[in-house]
Amino acid sequence: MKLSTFRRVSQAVTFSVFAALFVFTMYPFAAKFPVDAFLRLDPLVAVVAMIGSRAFIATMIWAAALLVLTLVFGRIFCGFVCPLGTLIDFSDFVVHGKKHKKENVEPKPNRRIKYYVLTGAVFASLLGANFLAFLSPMSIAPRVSALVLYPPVIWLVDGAIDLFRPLLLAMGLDTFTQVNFQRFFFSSGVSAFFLLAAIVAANFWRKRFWCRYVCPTGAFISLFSRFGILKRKVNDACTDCKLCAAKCDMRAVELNPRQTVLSECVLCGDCIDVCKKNAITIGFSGLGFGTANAGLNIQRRGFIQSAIAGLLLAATAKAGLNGPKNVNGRFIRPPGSLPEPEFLARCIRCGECMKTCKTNGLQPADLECGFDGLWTPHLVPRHGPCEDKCNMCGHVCPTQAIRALPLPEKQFVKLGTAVIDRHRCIAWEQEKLCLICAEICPIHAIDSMVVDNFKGPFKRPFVTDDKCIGCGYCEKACPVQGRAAIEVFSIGEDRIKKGSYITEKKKNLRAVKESAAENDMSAETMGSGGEVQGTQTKTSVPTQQAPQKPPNTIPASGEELPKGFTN
Amino acid sequence: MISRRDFLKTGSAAAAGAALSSVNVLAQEKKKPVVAVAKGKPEEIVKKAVDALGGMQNFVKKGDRVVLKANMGFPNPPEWGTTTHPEIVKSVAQLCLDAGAQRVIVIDHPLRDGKVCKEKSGIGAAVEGLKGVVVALLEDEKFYQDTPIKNGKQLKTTSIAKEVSRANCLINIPTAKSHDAAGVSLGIKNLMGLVWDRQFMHEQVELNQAIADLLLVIRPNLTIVNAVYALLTNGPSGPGKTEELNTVVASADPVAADSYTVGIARWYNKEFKGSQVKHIKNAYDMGLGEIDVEKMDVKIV
Repeated sequence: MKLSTFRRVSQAVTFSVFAALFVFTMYPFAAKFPVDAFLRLDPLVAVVAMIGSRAFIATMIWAAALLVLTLVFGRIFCGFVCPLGTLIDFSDFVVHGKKHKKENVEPKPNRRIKYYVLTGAVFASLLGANFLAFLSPMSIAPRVSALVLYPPVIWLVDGAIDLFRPLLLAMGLDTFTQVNFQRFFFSSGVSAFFLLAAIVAANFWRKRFWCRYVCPTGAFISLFSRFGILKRKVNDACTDCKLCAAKCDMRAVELNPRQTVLSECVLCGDCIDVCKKNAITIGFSGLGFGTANAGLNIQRRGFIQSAIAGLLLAATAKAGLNGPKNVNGRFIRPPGSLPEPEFLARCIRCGECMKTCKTNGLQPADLECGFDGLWTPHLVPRHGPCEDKCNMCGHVCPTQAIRALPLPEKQFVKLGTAVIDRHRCIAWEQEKLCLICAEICPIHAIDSMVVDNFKGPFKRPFVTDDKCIGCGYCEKACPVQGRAAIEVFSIGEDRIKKGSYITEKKKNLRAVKESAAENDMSAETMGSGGEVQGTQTKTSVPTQQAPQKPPNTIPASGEELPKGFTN
Repeated sequence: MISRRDFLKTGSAAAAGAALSSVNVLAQEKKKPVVAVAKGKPEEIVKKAVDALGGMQNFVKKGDRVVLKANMGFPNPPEWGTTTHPEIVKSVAQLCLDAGAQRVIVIDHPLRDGKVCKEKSGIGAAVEGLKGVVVALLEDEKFYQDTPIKNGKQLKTTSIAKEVSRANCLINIPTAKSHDAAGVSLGIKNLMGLVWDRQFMHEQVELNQAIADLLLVIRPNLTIVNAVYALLTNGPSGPGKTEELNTVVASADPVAADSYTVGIARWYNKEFKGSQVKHIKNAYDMGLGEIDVEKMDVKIV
């Protein structure tokens, strides 16, 4: 097989693996095998996330495998494996075909740019900024797949099943008749798409523009690829015709076709195909630089300038371009998210958590939390709540910006607190027998109690603040049109770097106790709202106060003492 | 072409048939509804109860398409009492198959995520080996169709699962639990899991009447109330106090089954009768079944 053919096969296979892992990034598979394995290959992601969050990330050690691969085979990742590279090659073939602008042999603009991008990105991470959302192929490829490509594909598949459903039913294939794919929607898929569109469009001007000039992961790998033992070799048959130089997508062959810029060569084999004298081979050539031009060509001035630029950009992202930080308290991070600075430093905005979110509740942020928070995940409970029995998002996060918590622990993570807007609530304001919020709450943090001094006596919902985990099921299910009458705010959200989310206090709160309904079951008829003026006494709960403490909660020590004193 | 004579013949035959059938209905109403109550191991009690009602072949005919309305609305284990016990679902499905059912479809419109509910309630795994049994969690509007409710007092129209109209037999297998809004959630309340827009029933109309109205258009052929674990407080989602009753209550009369079940547990730690539950009372008032335990033929097996 020709090397160039092998390369296409390799791209197809590795992209299929990437796509398969992507598809399996869903409940319940995500917790069963490492669906983020591909994303954890990027060593630059490892470096930036670790520097940014000042922590060692064990899951990213896998990225060392890629460095080892590079040390042996050179920069084959870029040519044979990288899913973004494959996407670029494929879309280039589809979009531009053979209508490329004719390129000069010389690599212009200067490909040193990507080393400066790399320098900038690494220095920016010193200030906790993670720019890989715009730069790493392991962020761009999955994000575009999740937010831009996946929803329409599902829509099509589901639509096709809908089309054939009557036929399936007539054939008695009931198992298939009931199949329904959940249709996904993402709020800022459009902006994620533009980045890919720009990357593809740039190819018209320079083939593999992104890989040649921008990609900092490629730059990082190329720091190692020069040591690769697999190299391009040119024998004496070479007539200096420079066909190979003109053909090379990466411009790894310059004015002297006998030499190879090892840092650029992705061993694609195009030069072998184009050489009329069969003068080119690719083979093992021992350690060292050999005949090749291996110079890095970064200037000290450029290095310093890009370092400063990285720091300045980080400062700009963190301060200048930053939005207000969650001022309305409606910005809710996924369960198990690290504290915000570490979270932002680690999150590469790959979109895997949003892809895997069972309810489609995790949405990419636009600019509501500033430029720094662009495409980061946040829970929009009205769209989809956090399913109590699901912990997938932490398991798919390559950098562990969301911790992979075991399910029992995840169920104790408090995302926020639900707050009832009594003027919108139809039980409070209109005395309707609603209580869907209490009905759906997975941990029974909402109680209904008869309140008789609001408008009239009626069963009305109350949130037990300490118990509420902010999953947002109540907000999702609230039947009030438009804005829900019960909304989750990030009040009291739990975000800890390490240690368990399970505490004794929380466990005590969860214990099944005498319910409010048991004490306050005032109406003689079940199913009444308590509006019947019965003979029994009704609990009187002042409207502006929290509900009474259930009687058999564990009394705090020293309850006899005045407030503020303990034994 | 139909001749006039034929037309008259068929017409009179139809009229006679209608008259006869209404007589039949009246006769049935006078007859005491049979309520079978079985206590014991979850895997055995369904058969005992259904046999007391004359066996499953009374309800399921050979080649029937049977819909089982189980409660699978929450991803909670059976011990929480929030979903129908998997063993109960399994034995009902098995009995249907034994009676010759061609297909058994276990359906619900879950409150929580369907896939998770199917897994965590244990129902998916319980019926997995049974050939001809399909579990369907209908989480999309396309599985429902608008259905007018002719004599509905509150609910004039609603969208009901298409599977119900496709089925020859509907068996309602609710779980017995308390309910924040409706007091208790038994068989009639369980029918809400066949409706797409339930928010409407809470928000726009009076809930207790709307639940009873459903019974006008969805008539389960058989109701088997699962009270293996009865959730006495904090229903319908739990976790709350449960009592292991190891009981099922079965009847062809949905109101009777519910009314009887109200009496077998101490809901909210109090005594209640079926007639004290608004939506059950509403269904009774509309003539949809018997509420008075005294007027039921109760067979305890």
